[in-house]
Amino acid sequence: MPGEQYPIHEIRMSPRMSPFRMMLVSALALVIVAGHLVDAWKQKDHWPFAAYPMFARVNKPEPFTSEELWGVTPDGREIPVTSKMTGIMGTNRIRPSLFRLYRHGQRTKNPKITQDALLGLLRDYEQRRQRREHDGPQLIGMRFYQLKWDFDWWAKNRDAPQRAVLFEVHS
Amino acid sequence: MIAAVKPCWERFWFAPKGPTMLSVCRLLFFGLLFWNYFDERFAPWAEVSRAFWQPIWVFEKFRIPVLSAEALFACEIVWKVSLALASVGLLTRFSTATAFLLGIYLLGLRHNFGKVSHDDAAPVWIMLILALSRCGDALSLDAILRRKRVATTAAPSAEKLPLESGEYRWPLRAVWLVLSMVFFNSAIAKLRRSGLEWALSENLSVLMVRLNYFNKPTTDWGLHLANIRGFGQLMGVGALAIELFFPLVLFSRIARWTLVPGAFLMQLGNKFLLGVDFTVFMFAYVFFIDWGWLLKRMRKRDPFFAVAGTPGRGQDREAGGAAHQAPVDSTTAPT
Repeated sequence: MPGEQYPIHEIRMSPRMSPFRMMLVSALALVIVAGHLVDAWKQKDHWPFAAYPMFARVNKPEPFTSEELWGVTPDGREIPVTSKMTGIMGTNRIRPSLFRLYRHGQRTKNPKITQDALLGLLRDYEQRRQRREHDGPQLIGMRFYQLKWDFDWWAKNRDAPQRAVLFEVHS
Repeated sequence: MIAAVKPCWERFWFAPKGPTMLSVCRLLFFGLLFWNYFDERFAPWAEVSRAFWQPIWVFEKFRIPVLSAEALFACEIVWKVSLALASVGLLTRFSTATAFLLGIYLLGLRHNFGKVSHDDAAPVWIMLILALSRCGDALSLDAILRRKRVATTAAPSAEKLPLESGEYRWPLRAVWLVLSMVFFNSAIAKLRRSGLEWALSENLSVLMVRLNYFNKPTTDWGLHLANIRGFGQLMGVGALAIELFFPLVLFSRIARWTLVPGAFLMQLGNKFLLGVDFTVFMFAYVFFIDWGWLLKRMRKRDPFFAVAGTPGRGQDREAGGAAHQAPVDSTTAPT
């Protein structure tokens, strides 16, 4: 009746769910379980299913490596390329991508694909710099480094890795 | 066998429950997603060099393309609006479905470039679960509009309608199941790739130090903790146990009281000690809080909630009065 308080969630439904809805939910539950178990078995990701293998390997106190992207300015200086400068990819994605391409290039003895990818990044950097989307300096080249550290329990040598250029490009 | 399992299965998934907990979870989960992704831009993915394109199976199988920047921008706007609408519960069926469909595309897009991240897979499943659920039946603008409509059309039969249903229980259980599979798979990956050495060696201490070399966590506590003898092993055993036994939260209240806070703290530790951010994933923990019980306590302590809530009979039954609790709720109530 007008003006009378009704429950805020008045609903027209049976207390027992329909068999179809129950089957739908059961099927969904089975898909969630089966999909995840398959990925756990194969140790592969099929997003949004996943095996969740991050940090699953044992780390030992021994020398280790990482990769970094550096830019070369017209006067020959080197500057680290940060996520702010690389746009949406971010360095966390660029690093594994470039390293994968590098290894692929080595396997197939075709370094062109790696060079093209880095050249694309350099062009993208410059375009976005000209659009003032970041405040980095002008770059005429990029270098993809592999950094190697001896393990130190206090990370005192963090800023002094051994560096080796894996590949580089110049515009 | 099936005849014996079926009642247990149905009781687990479909025992009647009031709508409060699911509705609060909807409100918070979509609200948190909206807040988290409000500043995120998706259109720039259209400009990324195809040299980096390494499609994940769902994009490859269904030949899903990267849309143009303009189309991605449009998708982004619609998605964010749908998240907001789903949170407040307006056109809930439509907004939750849109949030899921555009969410799986927009969130999935980045995994095609470089690496597959693992922070947003569970939220995608949760969006699907909520899209299939009746999460907009309470604490929503839809419910308020429905009440007004019923009031103006004077439908007295509405008062006699049931206020508890399995429709309000299964989505909560399904979210618990998703999180259980995530943690279980994570434990299996560790055991299969490294065995017990993962937990019993210096592994975690070394990892804490190593990530300080390139992740730059917000604090250097990780370095200090890594140098405490036995700390890594303690954390390793704890983390592996939490992940491996997390599926127990599906069946045990004790497990929910111990493993869920444990997992939450573990991920908080990942963020501050290792610089590994699982914020979006952590939104899923709202599904473990018994909001009905919490609202009941708040109403008792603070008259504001008693007046401001005026939630209606159904929520009172769930959140306000234990005497009105359905028996099945009192035995299988979530954490």
